[in-house]
Amino acid sequence: MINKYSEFFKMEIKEDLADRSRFILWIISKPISMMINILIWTAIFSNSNSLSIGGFSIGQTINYFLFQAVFGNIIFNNISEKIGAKIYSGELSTSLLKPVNFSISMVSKSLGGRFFSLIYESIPTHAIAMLFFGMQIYNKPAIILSIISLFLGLLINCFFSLSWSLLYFKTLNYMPLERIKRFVIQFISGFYLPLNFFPLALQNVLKFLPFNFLLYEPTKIFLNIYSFKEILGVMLIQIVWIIVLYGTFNFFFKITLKKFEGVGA
Amino acid sequence: MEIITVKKIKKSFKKYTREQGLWNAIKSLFQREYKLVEAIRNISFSVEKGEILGYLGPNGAGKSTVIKILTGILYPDSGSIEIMGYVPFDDREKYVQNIGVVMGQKSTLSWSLPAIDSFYLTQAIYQISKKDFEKNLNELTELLEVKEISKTLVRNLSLGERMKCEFINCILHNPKIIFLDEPTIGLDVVAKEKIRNFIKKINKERGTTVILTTHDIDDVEALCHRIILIDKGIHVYEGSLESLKKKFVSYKDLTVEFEKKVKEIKLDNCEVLMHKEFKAKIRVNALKVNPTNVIKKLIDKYPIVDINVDDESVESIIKKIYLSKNDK
Repeated sequence: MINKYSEFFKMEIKEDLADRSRFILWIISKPISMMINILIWTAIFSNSNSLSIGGFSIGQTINYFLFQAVFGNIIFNNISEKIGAKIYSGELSTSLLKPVNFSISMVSKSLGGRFFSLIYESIPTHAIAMLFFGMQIYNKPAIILSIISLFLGLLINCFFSLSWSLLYFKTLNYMPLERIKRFVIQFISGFYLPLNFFPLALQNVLKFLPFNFLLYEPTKIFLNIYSFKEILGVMLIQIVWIIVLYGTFNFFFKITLKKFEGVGA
Repeated sequence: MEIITVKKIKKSFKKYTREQGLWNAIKSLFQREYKLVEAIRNISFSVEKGEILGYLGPNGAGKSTVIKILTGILYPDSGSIEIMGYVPFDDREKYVQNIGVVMGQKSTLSWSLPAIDSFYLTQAIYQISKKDFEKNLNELTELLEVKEISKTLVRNLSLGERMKCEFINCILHNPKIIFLDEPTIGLDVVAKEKIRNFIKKINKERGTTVILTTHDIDDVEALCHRIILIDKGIHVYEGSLESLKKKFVSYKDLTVEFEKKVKEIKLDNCEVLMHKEFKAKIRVNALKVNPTNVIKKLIDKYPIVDINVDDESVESIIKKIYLSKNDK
């Protein structure tokens, strides 16, 4: 059983390895975006009267964004985009011909790609962030726990994307929906702004949604804000969300397939 | 033994239509007209184990839809299907373990990797034991002569090379039934020949049941034990190629060579297609006269060196069936 899906995991890594130039370009582009973020937030803090925004000091804020730049990419995946393309080209038919669980095979591929990116994207950028941008590590176990939590966040994002992609069965033009999904997720998962910068009412609403468990909560684990017990609590909620979204996807996937028309030749 | 039983399946699609023009394009944003297209109307058939069945039909006849329903991709609106004890669309995951599918227009191989990597993925997802896998892979690569090819990136392969790899990828797990949707489309003569021999061999040696859709009549003549013709969602003919010929052949062509110059040929119920001094081509209306009688008469009347008899081509018979159904 596991052997079946580990091959998808490996397959994605092999496909990533086929593209050598991407690795180099990634290393070059990362410091630029890190620097811009640091400049923006130093400017904001130097123009504000208070020493902290939303409870974050300047040091914490900068570390927040450095963590996003180094490890944040773990949770982002292109599952829904891939499914959209498969529906559009008719390639979904060939995926359905394989004796595997569709969602788990897609998620295994994603896990493979992201796990590999941890090695070839995150570790080099982490070195750059430490050497040139003064990234701080508050607590060594916390960084490992935060990465584990990020992978749980990736699973939440995978199953959410799978569920969202069922909408693409209704329309051949999936790109606008894909863009909406991407932007909204980046916004309410804390990629652009830490969520505690938002109005309290919005923060309270977001507590009942899975998205702050993608990036925001794992980053807080990294910033050493939580006690060990609280960290376990965060991970438990993450696991609950994974199960809920997995169930949601499977329920609607069955219904959707009944209406699937198998476009393309 | 029946391996596939299909009873009264139906499937219709909703299609959106509009008149041409910019105004109608804008109007269609707010108001859409849908047309219900019946892709398949009441189809029943069965397939015996070890059979090669040709599933033919013009474009848009419903062939691909039937194949997709049989392979568990689509749900039929009504009717029942049983294949090897499975209901394809309900037991999809378990069922597809036992079938192989090659679609001429779609790839199951990973584009950016060598084909061999895709073969190993197949090994893992079908859980083929290492011994079986290696034996099978060696046999197949030798049969199709792709030993070297399987190590180059799939995107760099020619169509013929890629199709051979697709075949290997679909047969590695020893499926009991293989579905081939236009497997020889776009291939050259040599590659076609190779693929045909391969299908024949697999069918003979492994007893694999083959369902084949194609537009190439040569494929049918070389391979199929039985054919089904489908048009507009219903079966219009089911039976062997020979009985199709017997039933629908309306003429035979005689190519005659004369010893001396012949000025005029006169025969009842015949049409002279071509007449040169020493050679003639005559079409005999087989519905009205027995062609053997015509040949006898020819020999009696004219000084003949050689006679060649050709049947009406299967292609034109099938064309006739399609056209006659469309008239109704």
